[in-house]
Amino acid sequence: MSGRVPEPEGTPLAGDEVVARVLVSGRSIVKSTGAVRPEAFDPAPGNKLSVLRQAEWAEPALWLRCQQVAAMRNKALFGRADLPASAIRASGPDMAAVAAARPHDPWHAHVQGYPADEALRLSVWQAMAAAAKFVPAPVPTAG
Amino acid sequence: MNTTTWPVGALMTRTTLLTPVGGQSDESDYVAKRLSSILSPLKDSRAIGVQALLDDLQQLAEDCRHEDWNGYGAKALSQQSLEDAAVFIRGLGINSRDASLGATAKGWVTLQWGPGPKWTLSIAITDDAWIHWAALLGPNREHGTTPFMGAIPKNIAELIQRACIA
Repeated sequence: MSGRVPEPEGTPLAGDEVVARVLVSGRSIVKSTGAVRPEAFDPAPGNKLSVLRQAEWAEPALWLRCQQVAAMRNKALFGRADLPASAIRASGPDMAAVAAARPHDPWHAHVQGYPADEALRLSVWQAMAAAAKFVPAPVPTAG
Repeated sequence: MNTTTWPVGALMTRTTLLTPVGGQSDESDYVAKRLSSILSPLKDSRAIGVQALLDDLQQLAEDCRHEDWNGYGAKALSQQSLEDAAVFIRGLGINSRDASLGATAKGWVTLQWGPGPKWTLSIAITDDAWIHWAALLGPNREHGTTPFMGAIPKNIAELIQRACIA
């Protein structure tokens, strides 16, 4: 990682910045197609979805961060759903990906702006899932 | 002879007609047997599709029976949502094909149809007899909420057809 400093809390991410939702459940994808399910972008019980910013991170370091997220949640890492901030913005009128640095993770971000209407929320998740790419967790190699 | 002519399309869509019917003559017996031989595989495939979904519903209930099953604080699956989902699935018939099951963090069962994420229908069956739905059909996005009274709502059946046509 370079010496880049995370932006202040709430700063919208650039449209081409890719974020990752860490997936710890096999129920996050459609088994027959490998596509990310819309429910993977369900922020409940809160109204903000935690994601990792990928800017400038090499794959091994990114997976290490994903492993840390899974470990914090006492779950096995299943994979990640990658999507650009522009797709999040396009998914709903108030949707945005914003910087939300945390002491343990300066490159943490939030997806926010989810509508209150449940059907519209489902539509927003759906639009994000359509833009997302599922990346399965690497299989650990012996030695 | 008591004869009734049904359009093939009607035969294919009316579950009640999948049961072989008895005839009054050799001719009607032949027609009944012929119909039965044509429709039996269809009936089986419907039954298999429904049963596969019901089996997966059972697995979903197992996978999501504890709080935080998704690692992000999800509620355990609602018993009412599970029961309503089972009723919904039993009513699907041929629409059970290509459906897949999931769950929301609020503990509601979801079903999804469609060939891919850019052409898809998702529904969420709540714990208070509502179905929230959203369809992404190429460039078109639609969504809505409809009551669930135990039978597949007509608009949902139509949406499933549209999602599966692509």
